[in-house]
Parts: sequence; C-alpha cells; structure tokens
Amino acid sequence: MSQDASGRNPAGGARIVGDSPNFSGPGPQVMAAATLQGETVLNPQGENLGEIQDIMIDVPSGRIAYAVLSFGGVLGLGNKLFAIPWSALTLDAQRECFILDIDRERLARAQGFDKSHWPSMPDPGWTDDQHSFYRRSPPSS
Amino acid sequence: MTRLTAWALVASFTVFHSIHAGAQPAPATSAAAAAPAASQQQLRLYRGSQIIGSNVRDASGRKIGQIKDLILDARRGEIAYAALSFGGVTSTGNKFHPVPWTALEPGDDGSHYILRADRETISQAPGFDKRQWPDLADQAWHAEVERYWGRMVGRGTADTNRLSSGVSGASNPKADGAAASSGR
Repeated sequence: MSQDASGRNPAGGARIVGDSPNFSGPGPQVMAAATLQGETVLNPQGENLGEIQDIMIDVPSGRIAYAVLSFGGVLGLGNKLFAIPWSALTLDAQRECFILDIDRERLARAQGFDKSHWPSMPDPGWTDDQHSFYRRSPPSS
Repeated sequence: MTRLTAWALVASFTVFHSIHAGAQPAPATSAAAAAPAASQQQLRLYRGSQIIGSNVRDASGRKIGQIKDLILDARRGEIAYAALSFGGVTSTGNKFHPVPWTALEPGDDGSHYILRADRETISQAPGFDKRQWPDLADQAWHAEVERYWGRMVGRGTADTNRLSSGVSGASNPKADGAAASSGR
C-alpha cells in the first residue's frame, strides 16, 4: 500500500492510496460531492463498515468537517449514523472506496447519532470526542 | 478505467437526484435571521446534500442560478468549487459552471448563496456539459477556472495548487461588518 505520492497531506485532508501509475495532476482526490453518497467504507482488513451517507460542511471555510457513515443495518444499528472525521478516511482510488482504520466491534461502540438528530451545531467537547475516538487530532481553532 | 474521478462522475447525476429529493430541508429562517452574531460564534455545519439545490443570488438579491453539485478537494478536505447552473440568466441550462467556493457568500438565511458577479461575467464563465464532466484531474482546467473567477470576482485564489483555501476570513462580509462597527 503506497502512501500519498506527493507527501503532501494537510491536516484536514484524507490520505489517498492506489493512485494509478499513469496519473498526473491534482489527482483522484478531486471529486463530485453527489457521488460520495453510497460510497463503500472498508477497514484495512477488508471488512465492510457501511457506506457514506453525506458530508458535513463548515460553510464559511468550505471545510469538510465529517463524513457521515451509516451501517446500513449490518450490525443491527440501522438507526445510528457515525460522524467520521474526514482526516480519518483514506481514499483508495484503486478499489474505489474509503478505508477507515477501525475494527467493527470498536465502531459498534462508537458514539453515533440518531437519524433525526444530526449534530449540525456540535460543541467543542463533542468534536474532541469524535476525533479522539477515531484517533485523530481535532482541527485547530 | 480505475480512476475514482471517472468512475464517480458517471454516477453523479443519478445519485444527485435521489439525494436532493430526499433530503432537501425546510429553509432555516427566523432563528438564523434573528441572531446572525450568535451563529457566527457557533460552528454550524451543513449537510452537503442540503447545500446542493441551494439558490444563488446576485448582489441585488435576484436569483441567478442554483448549486447543482460540489466539487471536493479530498486531500485538503475542502470544497474546491460549487458546480452552478445559470439556467435562469443565460441560455445555458445544460451547462454546469464551476465557481470557487470562496467566491460564494452564504446568505444570512442559511438557504441561499450570493455571487457578486454581473451578467456578463456569468455568461462567459467557464462551464461544461452536465452530461460530460471534464477530467477533474486536469491541472489546466483548474487553472482556467481559478484564473477566470480570481480575475472577475477578486476573491478567488491565484494559487491554483491551493484551490479554495486561505480566504476563510472573508467569507461573511455582512456579519464581519456588523462585528467591526460595534467596536471591539
């Protein structure tokens, strides 16, 4: 598994692996948002963790705060959604999916949120909790 | 064809319609309008699928288009461009026009965006057929879009490698102006 070829990985960004060899330019990291919905999320062991339901945007900065992962009922958690810090996701361009380094049992214990209560105005404590759970440092500011 | 972009774009529009139909929210009105200063303090996140479908107005409040999709820079974790249709203004209803996210100002009711550009700027904006997206990996394409909007609107970034970053402080002039006039 190759690392980010350019070595550039800003704090808020997702890592990219599996760039095709004849590829040049900004890369497969540029994508249309509407296509993210339904994107498969796997863990490094190849187990299916669910799919991307949406992304949460900080409008003034344009920053992607979270990807929202839904289990799709796989673990009997059909009503729960999970806010995954964008930086915890790795885009696998080869396999056309996202990788989240967490095992299913741990994800099942994650603090999700209910479909009818999206965390649209998260307080700093919640943000810190999410980032530490997925082992990411919280965004500065 | 294993590149994510190419693969993703094919699926774009079928997915778009389902998202939009299912998740379009009731516009946030009274709360946001009553307390713009408070919402400036509190991080307020919007769902990407809610932003898609938002109207875009010009400086005088006239509707000039709609956000049809968001083009993400996944590595930076940011929206690079909004793909707009200007169907109501020019006869380009089949075209999408990428506009740097930094050129759009959030409207104060949370349900629309403002693009301070005149009719001529809009009618000549770079665009593409909505059924045939460009190769988003093409650096020259990004450079053209950034150059056009950087020149015409004056808020885009000239540095094409940085896309939409670095202008975050200027995103809400109305609220900033209010805060500044109140002193400290």
